[in-house]
Amino acid sequence: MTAARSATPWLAVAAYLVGMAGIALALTVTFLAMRGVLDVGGQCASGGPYVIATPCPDGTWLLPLAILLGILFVFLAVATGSRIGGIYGSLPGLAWVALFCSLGFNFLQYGVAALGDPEADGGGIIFVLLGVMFEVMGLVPLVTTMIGLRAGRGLPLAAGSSSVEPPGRLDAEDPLSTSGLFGSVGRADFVGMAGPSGPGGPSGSAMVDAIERLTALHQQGNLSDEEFAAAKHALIEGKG
Amino acid sequence: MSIRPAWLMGASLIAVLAGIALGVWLYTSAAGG
Repeated sequence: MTAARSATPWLAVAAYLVGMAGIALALTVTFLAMRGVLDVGGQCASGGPYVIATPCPDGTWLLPLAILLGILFVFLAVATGSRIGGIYGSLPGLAWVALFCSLGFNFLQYGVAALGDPEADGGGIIFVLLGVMFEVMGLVPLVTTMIGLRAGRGLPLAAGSSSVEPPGRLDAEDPLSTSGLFGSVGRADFVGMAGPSGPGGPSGSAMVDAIERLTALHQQGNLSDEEFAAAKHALIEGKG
Repeated sequence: MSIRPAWLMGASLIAVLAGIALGVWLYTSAAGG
């Protein structure tokens, strides 16, 4: 079916997979490079005119590079994941959880080891506190998102976070809705993206985009024949 | 031919694992060299 082929965003899928691999690469390098720095006491330096007490271990230069590239890969994966639709626009948000939980693990491990070491100079408690803070920063968005997904079927997200969430309905079962660490996007927002939703309805190219997405959802089995026909009809009627 | 959610989820997982493997290789070769 020609329409189905054109509706499949293969370029977006390829870029999305590159983005996800790049995020994992950047997080892994950040995790390992941080352990390298913690191995030499948590502080190091390189270059410059001064006498350096603790030179950085080899490979530390990758750390700032990994952070910068990681941010770029997150942007790539979010942009292309949103193009694919469904959960894929939100999945790269797990990078936040992975980043803070993995670095928090490093702080906790080295902090606890320093607490048990009588020769340590008391820096362990700082590392433990940092570790706890990082774990909280990583886990709180994950837990609140999971709670929102479980409780949010047909209900708005928790009232406490309504001020930062877009005014969409959080509905995990709705194929035209997506939700996750970057907030929720409801059906109303999705249809709104297709173009102005006034009496004139969506613009021509936006309507084609919307129909292509509907076709893709239909092909994936997320929409029944009746739902697909009704949604397409509603779109076309909106145009008239 | 359309994207099956399970298919893409599996591909995402493989991409993440490949990224982790590449990251370990990159760092260990940089740190060891």
